[in-house]
Amino acid sequence: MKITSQANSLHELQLLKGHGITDVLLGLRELSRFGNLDLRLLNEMAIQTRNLGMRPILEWDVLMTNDRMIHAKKTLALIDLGLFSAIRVQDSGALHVSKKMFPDLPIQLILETGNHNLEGVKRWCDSVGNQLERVILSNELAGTTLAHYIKNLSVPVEVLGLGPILIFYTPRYLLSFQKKDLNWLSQETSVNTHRVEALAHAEEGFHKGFRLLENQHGTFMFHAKDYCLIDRLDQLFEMNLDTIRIDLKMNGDQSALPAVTKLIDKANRLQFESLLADRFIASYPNKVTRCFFQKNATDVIFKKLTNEHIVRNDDHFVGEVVEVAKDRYLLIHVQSNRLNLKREQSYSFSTPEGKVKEVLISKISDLDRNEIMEAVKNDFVIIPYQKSITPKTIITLTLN
Amino acid sequence: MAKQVPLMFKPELLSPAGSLEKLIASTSYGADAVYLAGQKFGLRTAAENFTLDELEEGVQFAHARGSKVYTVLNSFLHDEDMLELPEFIRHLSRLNIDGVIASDLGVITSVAKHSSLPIHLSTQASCLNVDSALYWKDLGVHRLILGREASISDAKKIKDATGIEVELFIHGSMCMAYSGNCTISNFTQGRDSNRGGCAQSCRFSYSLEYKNEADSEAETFSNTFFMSSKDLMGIELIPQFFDAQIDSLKIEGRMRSPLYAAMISKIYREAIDVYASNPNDFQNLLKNWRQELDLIPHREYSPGNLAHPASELSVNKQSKKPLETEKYEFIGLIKKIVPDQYLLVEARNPFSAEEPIELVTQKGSPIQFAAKNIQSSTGVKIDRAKQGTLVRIPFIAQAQTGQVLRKHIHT
Repeated sequence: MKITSQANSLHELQLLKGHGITDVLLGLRELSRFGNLDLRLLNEMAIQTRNLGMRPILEWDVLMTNDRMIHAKKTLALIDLGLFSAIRVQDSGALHVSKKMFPDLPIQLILETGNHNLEGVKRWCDSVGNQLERVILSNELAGTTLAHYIKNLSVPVEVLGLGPILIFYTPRYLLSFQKKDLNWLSQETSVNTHRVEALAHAEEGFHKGFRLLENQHGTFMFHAKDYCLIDRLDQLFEMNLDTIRIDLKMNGDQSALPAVTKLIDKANRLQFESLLADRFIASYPNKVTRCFFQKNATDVIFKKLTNEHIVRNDDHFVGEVVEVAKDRYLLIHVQSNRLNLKREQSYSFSTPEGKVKEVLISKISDLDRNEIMEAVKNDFVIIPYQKSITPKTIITLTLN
Repeated sequence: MAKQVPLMFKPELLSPAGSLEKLIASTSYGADAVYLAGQKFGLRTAAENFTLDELEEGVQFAHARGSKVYTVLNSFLHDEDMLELPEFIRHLSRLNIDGVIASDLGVITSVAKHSSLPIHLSTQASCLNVDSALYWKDLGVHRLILGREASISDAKKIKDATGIEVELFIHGSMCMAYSGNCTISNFTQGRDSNRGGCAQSCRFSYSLEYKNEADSEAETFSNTFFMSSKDLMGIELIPQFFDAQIDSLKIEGRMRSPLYAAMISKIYREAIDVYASNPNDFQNLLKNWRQELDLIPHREYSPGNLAHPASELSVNKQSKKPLETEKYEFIGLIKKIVPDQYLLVEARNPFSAEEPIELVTQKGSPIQFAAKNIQSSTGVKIDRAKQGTLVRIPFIAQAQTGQVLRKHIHT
């Protein structure tokens, strides 16, 4: 496994040296969500990165409205792209520009948002073609899914191994909007160095300790815990993960770097020790989570969002109970194109509460109390009262 | 006075259809097109959505009135979700729907493989600039539903540069995040927001603890709604939408009531038609439309990013809902008409025999009346219609099945 990390200063770059890091993400403040390098420092650090034996990667991961894209293109024209080993993009506009304007510069494509099916990931890869050097996949993928993708993609894969989990990104300046004395928006000179941090706690429930960062690109919210697969390095190695990203930008320092890169090195030499990984995690400054690496079951709760007792099944659905007059009648709305409500026929009545009752319809009347033999779509009809049936009850033809 | 020349271009009015009755409301009250979801693959898991039979019925109803139907497949599907997708796509194709809305490239690929249905790129893909639009065009999309951060001016540039249709939201609730880039629900509640499980965490009240490096004591703000976006309202900008030749104007709100679907469709229908036929009359009538929109339950309104980047004024800071001193309440739907005798109404909220209610007609002012003689569904005289019951009210000649009834409430 190769290691990628980022550097926001020459000092940080020096700290990356000698830890087996292959790629260094360099972020120009106009193009990168969190990078704060100016043009001069970007170029200097790209040269230094190469001198230190690592690959400088130009990070262009902001999302852009059209005006911001125009500005970004002007900025790109000022960068000596020959200094960089690859460019890293998420916005499909940035991808388009990279393909058209810099066809010789390898692309690292961020597919961390969504992209949870192999068909889609493959199509992204195909659309970029030979220029694609690597894809960065989502930290919502389960380990088994990740392994399956690595096996079936012809392009190397990178995932986040340790670092903050971005869960929200808006171009609006939500922290400045809230705190009036941070109103920097009209002060042109401060735009590029603007940075506000806060913690957000939901007043009710368990949403506590979200880290917020506002800069010139908007507001970013991070999970209270860092993502951490350090105790799963052996699995990542086994699945042939190409690159693991170590992102310590929210920690304020790189002190965790030597220990974590040493663990990765051990995993690469088939000497992974889970005890050491556990010790690292225990000493890491933030709480950590593996989130969905074991299993992504984020659709399980969906069944509870709808009442499954009254979900229609077209094949046998007849209609629904609109009104219940206790001890007198049930008012039914026939809604099916396929099935009528017929006298002397048995039907299943499924209530919203989950009760199912079989009813033989002995009598059907229209709203003027005239008896009829059957009712068709859009008819409102009355049948004799049935205990425990409530409004919204679904009526289906009983299957023999 | 200058002669008014009718404008040739008219944008499509695209309304929500969260259920069959909402589809009927939207199309009956003026939508050129509706968007809806089947029971899978959309982003509103808690909505009623359409079974295949309902979908067929909805398409037939809409097409018979000259309205188009677009089906949303805009979840970010996981591999296991993809298994049932081809069959659903083929079914949509057989129904002759007019397009699918998708953002996931796997879904887009599958749609192209299993049908020739036009593909509309969902706002979930956050397509915001000309270069992005060109990329998606190459990937086979036919229309771009731009991210909500795009302005009308951006949309025009994108349309001019790509030559493909563009669609913008004009009214309704808005995400605060770049669409598709919010996973708060996923990580905090185990509900995939991009597969229909959004828990609306951005609408919660938060305390904010600002980090202050110069001062060891953090400054805290309690009970803030700092991430809650105001609702979008772009009716005043209809002239700009015309000038920019934006192909489709979309109203958000598949989870809202049939009254919402009906009223918003009617108001925007009128506004678009008036501007198209008599642009000089538009400003005169704007105040009336604004008043009507104000009486529909909503968060505070904002133009979002349509004209300028959303400012501080786009955040719904103070509370979940504005203080409503008056509003329209949904009374019910006309389910059946027995000419010269009665209207059969499904009561969604209670109303009494004496209180004034309004029948919202497709065109013109609503008909105000008091349902002095309310009867139960079987013809027994009652004083009050209870919520969830079917009642008879006196016949009104202008009434049509599917029309909505409302009550004007002052508090």
